[in-house]
Amino acid sequence: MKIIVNLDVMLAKRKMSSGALAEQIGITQANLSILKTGKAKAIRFSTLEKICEVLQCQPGDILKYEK
Amino acid sequence: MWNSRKSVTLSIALLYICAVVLLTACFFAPFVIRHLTRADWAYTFGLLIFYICVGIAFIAIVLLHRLLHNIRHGQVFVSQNTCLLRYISWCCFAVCILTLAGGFAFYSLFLVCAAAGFMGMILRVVKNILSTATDLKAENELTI
Repeated sequence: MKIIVNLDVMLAKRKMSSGALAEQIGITQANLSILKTGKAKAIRFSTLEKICEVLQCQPGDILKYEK
Repeated sequence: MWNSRKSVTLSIALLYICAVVLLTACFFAPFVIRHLTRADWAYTFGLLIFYICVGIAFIAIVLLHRLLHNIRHGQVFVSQNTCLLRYISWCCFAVCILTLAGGFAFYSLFLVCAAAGFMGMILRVVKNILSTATDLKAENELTI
């Protein structure tokens, strides 16, 4: 079982670059890269809230559970 | 103003002093042990135990120096420090076993044995704490 981060898909849908998203949610590009590549061990609610706010989406659009 | 960097520098200085004291002890050890015993076997045995313990102590000093060097460079919660603490604790246990054997010739060495064993145990506990802290830090760094 694995939690998949679909941030790339949402970024493509919104036609937004990683750098722009990182800047708008106030995290470094390195940390955003950790999140995108699935290396992150956890995500703060505050970060998730900002991502959803900027990308105009729901947490379920970004995170997906796979068996 | 006193700060952590100066504290580490003081620890390193104390380590050097300790190394010098050990070297001096190596020079005077034959005279001191001869003063403690007249039996040739006890003298040879005591001297052998002492020099092996000094060798282990020097290894521990080198390891402590590396540990303090890491701390000085801000690398506190890294797996290398856990390994260093583990090796230092094994050095303490090695001295504990050697002095346990030596205690049958020189009873006062039983005190050194107890002290070394207790120090080894404390270091193992600190090592376990540091290991957990390193894991927590790694997890915290990967929390976005």
